[in-house]
Amino acid sequence: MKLRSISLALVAFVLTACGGSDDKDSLVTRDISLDVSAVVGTASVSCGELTEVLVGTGNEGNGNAPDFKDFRLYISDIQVATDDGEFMDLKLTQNDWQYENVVLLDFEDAASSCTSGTSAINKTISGSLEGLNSDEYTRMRFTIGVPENLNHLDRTTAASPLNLDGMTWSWAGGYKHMRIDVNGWNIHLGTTGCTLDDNNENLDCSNDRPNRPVYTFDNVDTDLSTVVFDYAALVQDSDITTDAGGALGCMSGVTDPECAALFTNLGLNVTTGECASEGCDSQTWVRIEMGSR
Amino acid sequence: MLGTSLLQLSSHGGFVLPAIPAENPISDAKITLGRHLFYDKRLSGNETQSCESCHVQALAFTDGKTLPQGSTGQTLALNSQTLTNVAYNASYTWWNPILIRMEDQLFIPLTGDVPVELGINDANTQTILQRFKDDETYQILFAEAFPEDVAPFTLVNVNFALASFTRSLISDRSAFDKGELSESARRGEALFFSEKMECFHCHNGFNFSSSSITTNTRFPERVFFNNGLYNINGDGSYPEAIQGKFKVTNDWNDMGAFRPPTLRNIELTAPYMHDGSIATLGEVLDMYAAGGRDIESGELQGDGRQNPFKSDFVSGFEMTPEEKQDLLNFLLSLTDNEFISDPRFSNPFINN
Repeated sequence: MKLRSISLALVAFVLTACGGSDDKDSLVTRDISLDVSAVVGTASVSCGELTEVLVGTGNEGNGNAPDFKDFRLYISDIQVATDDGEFMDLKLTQNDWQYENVVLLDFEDAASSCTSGTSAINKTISGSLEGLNSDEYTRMRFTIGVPENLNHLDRTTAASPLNLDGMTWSWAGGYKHMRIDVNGWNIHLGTTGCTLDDNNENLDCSNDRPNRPVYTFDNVDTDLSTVVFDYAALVQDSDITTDAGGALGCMSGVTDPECAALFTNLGLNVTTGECASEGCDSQTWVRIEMGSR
Repeated sequence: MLGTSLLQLSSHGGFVLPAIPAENPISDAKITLGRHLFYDKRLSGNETQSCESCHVQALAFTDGKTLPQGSTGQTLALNSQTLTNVAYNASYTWWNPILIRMEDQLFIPLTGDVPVELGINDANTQTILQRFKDDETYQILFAEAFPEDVAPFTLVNVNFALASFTRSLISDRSAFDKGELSESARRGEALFFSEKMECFHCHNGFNFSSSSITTNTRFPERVFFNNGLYNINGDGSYPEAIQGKFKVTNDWNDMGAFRPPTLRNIELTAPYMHDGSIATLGEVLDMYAAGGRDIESGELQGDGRQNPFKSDFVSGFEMTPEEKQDLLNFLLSLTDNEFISDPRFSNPFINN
């Protein structure tokens, strides 16, 4: 994910209006464009078998080549901050990939093994925020998942990107926050544990397992940093060729033996669905990479 | 009635109308479209299955299999349920307590991917809809079912039509409904409703399922019971593939808790239980008489009779051979032969 900040012509306008005396305190609206990427170690994620990389603990510890069938996730509540400032919401541009404060990142193009996916992909987040012209945003945080207030929409009328069949999770009454499927081993992260309210008519998610990790990153360079979702790191403690019970892979089941190691690497407590005791930032699979543009 | 003549209640059954959701009002045109879609294999991604593949009218809309397979060959973890009177279901599927609208449930066989059933997905939805768009019969059926829609060929409308047809599958013309019980069946009825056998606690009411609601229901009860089929490790565990309501609540009190299905047409819906693990009705009665099932060996080994989460109503009972036969005859009186031969529910592509 590259963080580009683009000052608008508004700056020039402010400078002119103030006679160019002091641009330090000028309030400007910036367009932000974030590039996102998904990798398997050193290789980019693409549909089908990635023979050049081996992941997980299978094959006597040597790992196995993942055969990608799907790789999509919802990100929400994206915020940035200066070194010592407060986090500010990135106001997402409203388009087919972005609705209110949630965006769908889509790394599958329906090719090869991704037979159930969409040909369209999305590796960009676009939005704007209002701040001082002099601000340098060095920190960022976001949530993986569809926010609670949007997670239980009527799928028959929901707007894009909350109307994709592959990302809905019928049995749990919400969405798959994240879906990373390789042949024989699926990861479906989603909120579980909603019940019906006292009237027995509407969903009550007050005692749910939200399974929405929040990740915070320091040392972000708004021009050069890339945030990388690394499947190899996510499954480094899992054998993607075996299933000891429950769903094939991990579908957020509390008692599913495949979920324990995976949730640790997500920074989540599998039992509560909240951040692990070490914090969500104990996660090991999303990282900042310095790059050049 | 409700703007439809195809959803019919008999004078025998004395049922109250099912609740119809405001967002999907029922009509004859929707029921007719839904009936066509229900029997049309073009609705599956690879055109190999229709709803009928797992829900055959002659079997009261079940398939006679222990576990069915989806259109791509994946075996499901649950036995195909009867569609008898599903319009009255308080909740849908065998185990899910929060799936309370048929329209929500229908997306599971339509678009579910774990396992794949009909196999509609983000990649092929438009292709599948195009099959109907190109068909002159469906051009008329969709237009009549959704007259206000400029572009009626949507998956949502497919869902709504299927829901409408499925709601019309009302079974209320059995020998029991007509009061045509043999002496033996009458004795069985008395046993069924006795505190000795306790059957009625879970299979109560007009639909013989305590998890039923009508348009008059104001305080819906959505009940789930553990009937002592399993007790793996002696801690009450059910096989991991399907553990009942527990999957949603993660509350061990819900381990192995399943929705009590209607007993109407139960004669036709073998094999029994959520996983089809009991072959005959007689064996089902034996299991309840024993107060659960003791599996003595194998990976499912465990004495279900001792399952700590078992319903108090599955406590076992003495049953003479004559009583067993009486109970069976009562259950057989719930078979509705008019339902399984009603041309309103039959395959519209076959000329009878």
